[in-house]
Amino acid sequence: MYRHWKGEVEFLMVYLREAHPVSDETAATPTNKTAGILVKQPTSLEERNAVAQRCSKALHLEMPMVVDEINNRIGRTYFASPDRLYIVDRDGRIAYRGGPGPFGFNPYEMEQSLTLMLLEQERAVGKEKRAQSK
Amino acid sequence: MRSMIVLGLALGIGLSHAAAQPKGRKKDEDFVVARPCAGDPLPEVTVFSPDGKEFKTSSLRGHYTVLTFGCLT
Repeated sequence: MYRHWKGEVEFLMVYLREAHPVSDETAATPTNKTAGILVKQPTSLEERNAVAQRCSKALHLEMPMVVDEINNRIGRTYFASPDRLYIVDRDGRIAYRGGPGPFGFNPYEMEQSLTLMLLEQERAVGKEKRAQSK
Repeated sequence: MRSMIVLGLALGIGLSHAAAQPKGRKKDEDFVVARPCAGDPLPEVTVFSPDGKEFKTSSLRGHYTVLTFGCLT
């Protein structure tokens, strides 16, 4: 999806706190265990940066990435944990807010919204040009 | 008298349920109604890329941007 839209739309990955860290109290999920993804909850920004880079490499992410502060400020501000999708419009307003992950995380729904927004934008630009040419 | 007992019981059940919720854990409805939502201005936050470059959400103007929030686990 990133490769398809990157000429027209900006993408940004925001790396958050771990949803299923391993600790003395919690074990990895079966899926994560099978995949060898055994990650403790980072306690510093440096640790989180390292895990974020590991994530980027493991998932072959090409989009730019930023990392939430260790106090999880952006995750809390956007109610984003464990995962969530937003579209921001050209005026810096939220145009789409997806459901909370994992079950509400729906890239296809987001893409449909994005397509409609871009179409609407094209129509508006076309209309403006026609009005100006009169 | 009976209605007061029923009321007291209902209140007790409600309070115990609330107490049984893990502290600090968000309820499902919080995710649905919480801000920011569509139409709201993007909250201003400064974050950093893994290589230390500062990034401000206020710079997300002039184009559509898809924000993908997530983690490895």
